[in-house]
Amino acid sequence: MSESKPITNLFFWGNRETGNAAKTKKAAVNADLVERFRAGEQDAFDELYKKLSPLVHGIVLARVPRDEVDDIVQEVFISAFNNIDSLRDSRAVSSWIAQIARNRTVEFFRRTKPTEELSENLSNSDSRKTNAHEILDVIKTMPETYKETLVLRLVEGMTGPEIAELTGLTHSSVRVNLHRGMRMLRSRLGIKE
Amino acid sequence: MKEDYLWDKKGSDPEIEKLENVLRTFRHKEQEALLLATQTIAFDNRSKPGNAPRRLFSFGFASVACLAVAIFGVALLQMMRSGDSEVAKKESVNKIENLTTNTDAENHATSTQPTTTNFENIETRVRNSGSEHERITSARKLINRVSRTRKSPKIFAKVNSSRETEDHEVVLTKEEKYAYDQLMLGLSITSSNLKIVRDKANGIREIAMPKKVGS
Repeated sequence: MSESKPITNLFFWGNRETGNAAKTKKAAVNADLVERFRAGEQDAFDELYKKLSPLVHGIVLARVPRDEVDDIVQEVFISAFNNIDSLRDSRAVSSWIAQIARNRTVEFFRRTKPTEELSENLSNSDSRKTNAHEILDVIKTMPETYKETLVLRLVEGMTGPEIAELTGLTHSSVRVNLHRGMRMLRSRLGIKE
Repeated sequence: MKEDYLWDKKGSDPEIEKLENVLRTFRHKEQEALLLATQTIAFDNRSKPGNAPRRLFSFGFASVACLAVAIFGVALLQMMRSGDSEVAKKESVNKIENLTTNTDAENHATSTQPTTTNFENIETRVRNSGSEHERITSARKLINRVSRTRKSPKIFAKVNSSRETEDHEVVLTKEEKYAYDQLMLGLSITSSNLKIVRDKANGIREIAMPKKVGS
């Protein structure tokens, strides 16, 4: 089976209604946090940070070197904090912050020269961690849509519906990205299905 | 079902679970939220929350619209004024042309005759005058009049009114009078020298001057 072939049998139309309802409910919660923050409650932004930081971390981790990830995540939230008034639809806060994160990674590569990360084999004898770095490096070489979804699923531990809710993508898109990405990862790591 | 576990973690998939366990080391850690708290110091000093960008945009849009309307109005007014001024300009140009043609005709009629007569009669008038001072004054008057009539009629028409009062009475300062006298003296000496030269040329014998004794 080729990697680019559409996977139509994975679309579960019956679950779509319940998925969308949950998505709407969570979006309403996030919108409420945004409104509370706009009204002057700083705790609301902290809560928003707790909810959305895994998303931002995953998006950034899928793109930039690991040492830079935490700084960029902080920058993303500071930017969101300062520009929250420019957010028109408070229900779309998660996809808005996700887009800020993507833009920040692009900006990062624009302002820094390309570097080569040192292999962890040189300094780390922990085979499990070395293995993790290698897998992450393989994921980073994959197309944007696949690697972002895979990092959010495998690293941040989100489910497919959660990824769809936070990124603003449809369930079907996330499902396709997950399965195609996973198949590509397996083939690149040499794992047989 | 394998596919379910990848989608919503239902069921089990050892391979994906293994990958999850390995990659868990990169997972986001909660304590990093503390760093953000240090960055939120300016919260209380923020501008009033709400739809500030929208309000700002609407205010900016309204001000720009007002400015555009004002500029359009001023431009329209300016165009109307320029149209009126062009009509007025044409009218005034016609009037000026009429006036200048009239004055030219008048000046031509009044000034050409006295000019020629003045040029012809300067010498006789000066000679008929009484004292030297009167002769000088009359000569200046005549010269002034002649030189004025030599100017273009248009300029003469403009200057005429201002110069009219000066013609009646010529008042010289001390310096002017001294300079004029010196000039006249020089002219008289020159004329006498010329007379001597003319007499010599005509063969009139020079009167012998008595020689000094002992020289």
